[in-house]
Amino acid sequence: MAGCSPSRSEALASRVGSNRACRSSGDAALVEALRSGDEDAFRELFQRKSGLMKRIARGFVASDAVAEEIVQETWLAVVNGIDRFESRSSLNTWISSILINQARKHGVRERRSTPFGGLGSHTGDGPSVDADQFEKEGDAWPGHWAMGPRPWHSPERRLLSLEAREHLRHALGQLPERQRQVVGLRDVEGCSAEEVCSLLDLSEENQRVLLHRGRSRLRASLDRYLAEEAA
Amino acid sequence: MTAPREHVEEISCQEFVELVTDYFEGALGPRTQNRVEEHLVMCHYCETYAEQIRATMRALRALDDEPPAGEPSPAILAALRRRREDSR
Repeated sequence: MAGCSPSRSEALASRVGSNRACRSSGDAALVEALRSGDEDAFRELFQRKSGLMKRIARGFVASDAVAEEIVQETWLAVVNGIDRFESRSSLNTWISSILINQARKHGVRERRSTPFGGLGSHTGDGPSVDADQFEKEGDAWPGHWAMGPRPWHSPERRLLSLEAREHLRHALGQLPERQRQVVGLRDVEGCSAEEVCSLLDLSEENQRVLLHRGRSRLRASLDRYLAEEAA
Repeated sequence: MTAPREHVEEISCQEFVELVTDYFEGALGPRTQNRVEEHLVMCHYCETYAEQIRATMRALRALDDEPPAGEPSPAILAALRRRREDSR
């Protein structure tokens, strides 16, 4: 994995469009404030962005503690490197690209020191729904639902409970690494497909495949959770 | 060889659950898009499945509320201080 050279970060960042997570607004004033070491302006930015950054980092590494470390390293690189920011991309996108480079370096290090499977680096490409949920060859309607998906009653209320959110957070953490990164950026952070492809160096098709596998697994996980909770 | 029958073009539910993301992403070709839409009109189960994927996406979106991660490290504060001193 390439390190976080500013030129690479800028090149990467400039390919990324704007969105909620990576949006440009009042960059010039903020860049000036960072260049002059304005602590209040920095703290405001830190408060606003660090939670989001931690979740993105968490897509690359196995623990909250390491993700927090990555966020701190990223901010240090931002403060030290702000003179090299050339406004070819938004400030947020530039920061995101630094974050992802830092996170990747940690991710590579963690994989080297993790003896087996703990990071879920397998591709996990089973079917989205177990084959036994569908009618078989020789049945009346092969390939069609045998019983149909279990209905979810009042999903909006139940899925927003603290417990359901914890369950989902845990399930997201258990996804294979690439799926976790893509689902985290797309569905939790609200980044666009184009941005995720650029930030993670993925083709559009691979991005969709990873998103599909991740979402399908999480649906299945919530389905089990809701069934158990109702029992 | 058997002659093609009209329902050869239909997609099955088992195919639908693998196409649902491409469908949401607008990444299907027009022909497959039509087949998926026709299937959804007819298949209450797949409609339910698609809605569960949407509910999963909404639940994921709601995870976006973690509090910020602590305080800036002393190294960051020192780097800011150096910048302030340099710009004086």
